[in-house]
Amino acid sequence: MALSFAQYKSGIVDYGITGVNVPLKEGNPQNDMVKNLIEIAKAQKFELKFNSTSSSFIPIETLSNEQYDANLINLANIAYSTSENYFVDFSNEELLTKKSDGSLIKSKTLQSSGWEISIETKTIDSYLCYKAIYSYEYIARGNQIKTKTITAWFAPSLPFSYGPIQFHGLPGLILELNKDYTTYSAQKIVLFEEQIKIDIPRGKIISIDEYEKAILKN
Amino acid sequence: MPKFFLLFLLISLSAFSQKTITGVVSDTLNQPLESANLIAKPLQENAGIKFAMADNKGRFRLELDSQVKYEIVVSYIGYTEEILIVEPNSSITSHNFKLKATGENLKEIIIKHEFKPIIIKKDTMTFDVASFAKGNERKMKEVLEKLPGVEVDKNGGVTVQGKKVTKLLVEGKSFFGGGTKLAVENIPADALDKIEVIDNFNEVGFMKQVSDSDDLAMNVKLKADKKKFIFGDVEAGAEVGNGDNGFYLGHAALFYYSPKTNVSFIGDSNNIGRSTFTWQDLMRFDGGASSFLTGRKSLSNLYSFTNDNTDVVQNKSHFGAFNFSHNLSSKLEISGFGIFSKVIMDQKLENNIEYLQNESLTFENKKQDIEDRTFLGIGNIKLDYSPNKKEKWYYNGQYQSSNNDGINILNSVTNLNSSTFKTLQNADNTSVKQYVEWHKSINPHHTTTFVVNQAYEKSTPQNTWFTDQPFLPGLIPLQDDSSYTINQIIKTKNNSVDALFKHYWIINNFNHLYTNIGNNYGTSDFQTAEKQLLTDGSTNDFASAGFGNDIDYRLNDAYVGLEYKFKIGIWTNKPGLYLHWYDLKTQQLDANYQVSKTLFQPQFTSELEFNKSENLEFSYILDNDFPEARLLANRFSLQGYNSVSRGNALLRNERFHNASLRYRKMNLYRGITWFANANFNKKVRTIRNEIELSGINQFSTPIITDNPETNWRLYGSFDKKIYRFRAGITTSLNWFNYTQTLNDITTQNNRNSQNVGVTLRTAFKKWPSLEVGYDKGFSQFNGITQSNYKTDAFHADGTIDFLKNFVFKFIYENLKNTDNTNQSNFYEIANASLRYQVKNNPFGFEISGTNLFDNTVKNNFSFSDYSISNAARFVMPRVILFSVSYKL
Repeated sequence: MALSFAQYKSGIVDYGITGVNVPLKEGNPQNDMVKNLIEIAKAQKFELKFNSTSSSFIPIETLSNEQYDANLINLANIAYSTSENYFVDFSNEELLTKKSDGSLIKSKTLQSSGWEISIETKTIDSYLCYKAIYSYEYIARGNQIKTKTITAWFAPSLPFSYGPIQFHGLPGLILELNKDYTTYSAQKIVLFEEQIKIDIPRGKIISIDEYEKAILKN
Repeated sequence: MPKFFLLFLLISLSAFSQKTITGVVSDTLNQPLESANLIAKPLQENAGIKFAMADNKGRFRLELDSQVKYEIVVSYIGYTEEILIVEPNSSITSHNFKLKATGENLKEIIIKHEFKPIIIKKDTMTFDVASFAKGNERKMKEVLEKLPGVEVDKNGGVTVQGKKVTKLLVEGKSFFGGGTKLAVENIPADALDKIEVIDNFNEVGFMKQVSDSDDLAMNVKLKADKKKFIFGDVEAGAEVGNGDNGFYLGHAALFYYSPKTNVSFIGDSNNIGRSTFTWQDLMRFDGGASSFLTGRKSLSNLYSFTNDNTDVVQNKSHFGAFNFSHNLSSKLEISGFGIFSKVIMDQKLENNIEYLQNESLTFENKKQDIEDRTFLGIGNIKLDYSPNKKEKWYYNGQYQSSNNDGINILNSVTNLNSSTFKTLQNADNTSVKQYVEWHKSINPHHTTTFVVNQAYEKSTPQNTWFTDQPFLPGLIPLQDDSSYTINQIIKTKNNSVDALFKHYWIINNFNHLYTNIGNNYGTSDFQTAEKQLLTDGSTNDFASAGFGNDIDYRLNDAYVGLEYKFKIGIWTNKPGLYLHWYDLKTQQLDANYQVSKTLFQPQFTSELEFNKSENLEFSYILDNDFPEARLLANRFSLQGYNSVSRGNALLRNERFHNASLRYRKMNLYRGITWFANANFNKKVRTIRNEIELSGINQFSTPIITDNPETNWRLYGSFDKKIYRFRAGITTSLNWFNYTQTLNDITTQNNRNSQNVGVTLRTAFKKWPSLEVGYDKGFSQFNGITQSNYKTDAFHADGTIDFLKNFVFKFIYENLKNTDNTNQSNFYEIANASLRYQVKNNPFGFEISGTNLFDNTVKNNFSFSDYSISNAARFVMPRVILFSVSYKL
């Protein structure tokens, strides 16, 4: 047995959805539907693959249960999860998003400097995690500018600057991430000493500006 | 722990001075630990975390505030962490960390997660009505038309991005059974707050099996100020202009919504042929059966309530409906609806019919004047009980009663004869239907459903024919008289109990196994009796001549089925095998029959989902269909003034293969929608009428043969956005090949049709919405004779908003039919309306005109197995109406 222990260069992390905390108002007739969507969303799993230069984040395809309509599953993904695939190229700071309609959209990755790390910590299954917050502005319906806040819990002892969806750039792997109502949690981490290949989808790549223009036009 | 958030990696703007610590992180063998993270946690308040990451040689550079005490932690998976305390104003500038391996060589880490919820506000995905509507809209329909990707057709159907909305909800509750027309034409626009589009809202929540449907639900959220208040609108209109036909309309739609109780009322009375609900709506009301057991056909024919109502010469309609739902407790909800409708209709038809016989041709010129008076009442109640999150119960009960009263005056002139018939029709229909559904999710791997459906239906139509001449010579045993009166009574009573147990086993993410066990039991009592009422007061019962049926019918279908669903990549498959034990027993006057059959019915579905908006689906089923009692009744029965039929007690099940292939692609980015569908149906055992035709008189009897019947249907559509327009092309092709026996001669018949249509419409919010379209169709019949015809149809419609408060709408359509001798007929219809409504003013005014060209007839060609018909349907004259509406 080698005396030196492994230094890991790549890995695969499975994330699940451990919580969808929609504040249900008492007596709201849609509560049942929302609960259903939450149940569906919670069944969704994701796979994060990373090596030294890039990462991919892809929902794990499962056979849709016949109890649930495929469309309902789509809706659950839109509301409380994600159905898009994300590919991050660290050297060029590029994010490639594969939309559910197959379109490939290129944009800049989010800036690592956007994270605010707090001194708040918690342990997730023996891993000490620090809390970090990322805020960004987006244009909501009616042209209002709103701020969305992402909360991540990352473990410095896992020296991989990756995380669910497109979030990355923290000094440690993100084990838990809260976006909107949904909590994504790492469930299994497999590490490799060699580089693994990240499959970047091929096809016509358009910029986010072009895509938005086309959507607005249609 | 105090909670502060401070910027990271930014050069501090505070008064603190900086200090830098550098060094190397390595293991005990001096091998650098690349990417090791160093976290410097301040051990005092008002200071932020600092961190650094080691490079590929293990080197790090950590910038700290010199006056803060830090605890620097270096951790690396598989190594014990190292801690260094840095005192304020310490002079330390470098430090090397040597981490000791823990000895465990971790490759796979399973995280046991303790979840701590953090609630953050969410962006809503609904349409906010205020940001799309102009404010001068009157009904929900006009608001929907302004939402991107949403379309409303003239029958009140709604589509969202090409998908039809099949369930309409208001505040999450089904609205009059979920039909869209009543909602979009009645809910006032100013009550709408948000519109949610929900891809297949499942009432049955965690269980419902509708996986292969393209269903879509729309939920309407009302403005807060409309809750706990009665709102709605009333409208009244009267005829203006030159006409003096007494046309009028009155309409009221009133709603009350509170968190626990919802009530809606819609009332309508008009004589201009405006229908309040559609056939689809009626089918929904008429349902009363669980969606898990949908095989049975309903007895009553209520089509007259929803007929294409302006294609008649008179149409008076009175309609009242209410819908309610109430939460009795958090677990139990009661909902229901009641519908009352009365329609008085007068139709005028002229047909020129050519009967194609082997040896000769017969022409008939038929004029019909039909007056119908129909009354319908439906009451439906539904209980929804959720004892806990994993269990759901439903009970639905429905009572329906309808009465149909009609007088039909028919004048038939043939090359040999001329006669006039007056027919009185009176039919009473009653039905009681109920079902119970139970769904339970036992654990994430096992769920079950149990459904029982029960239905009782009774229908008793009575027909009386009056005529001055004998008719159907040789087919009915008429006694000579000065005038002829024939009376017919038909009684049908159906009872059925159907039950289904379903078990879903989710073996893993890619393998599911579904087990079905069920039984369908149905009985039918079908009676017919005909007699001649003679002028001398005596009767001539046709029973002695072989007329009159009394059949007791019982069909039991017990089945088990297994479906296995699995997924390989983007490819989902579901092979299934069902085993049915059919047992059919009939008792009739002259003979009793029993058929028992054990039949395998395989099925297969397969889907390739390239991505969420492009997929290819294939499905195949081998199925059997048993004939209903009417077809098995083996004595004569009178069908009409020129036809008599007899059932056939020896009929068995029809057997057919059905396969379909569907392709769908939507590209939002390029604005393109593709849709293609191919359907193939082949009957290998067929029930078809054998016909004896003599002049215009027909005698038909069903026979079962192994002659195949093949039907191909292809449909394709393509839609593309070009600049600010949307252009579409649709095409449909149909081939039908079957064997027909007519006057003892068996021929191969072909019925084919081809249609192609193009449309162009504006797709720009600031422009008026305009659409033009052209359709060309060809039909051919090929059998003992050949015939064909073609149609050319053009349509245009539009909505133009102008001067802020005015809305002008128009619809124009024409149709030209051309037959194989190049004879053609043509009609055109135009409707227009102008509405004036000031935003926030309760009063609205509208002047509308229908049939502006004052067209009198609509013409059509059609053919059957032995006839070609040119039909002229008389329509209502021009109606100019002025109406006032008031919003509550």
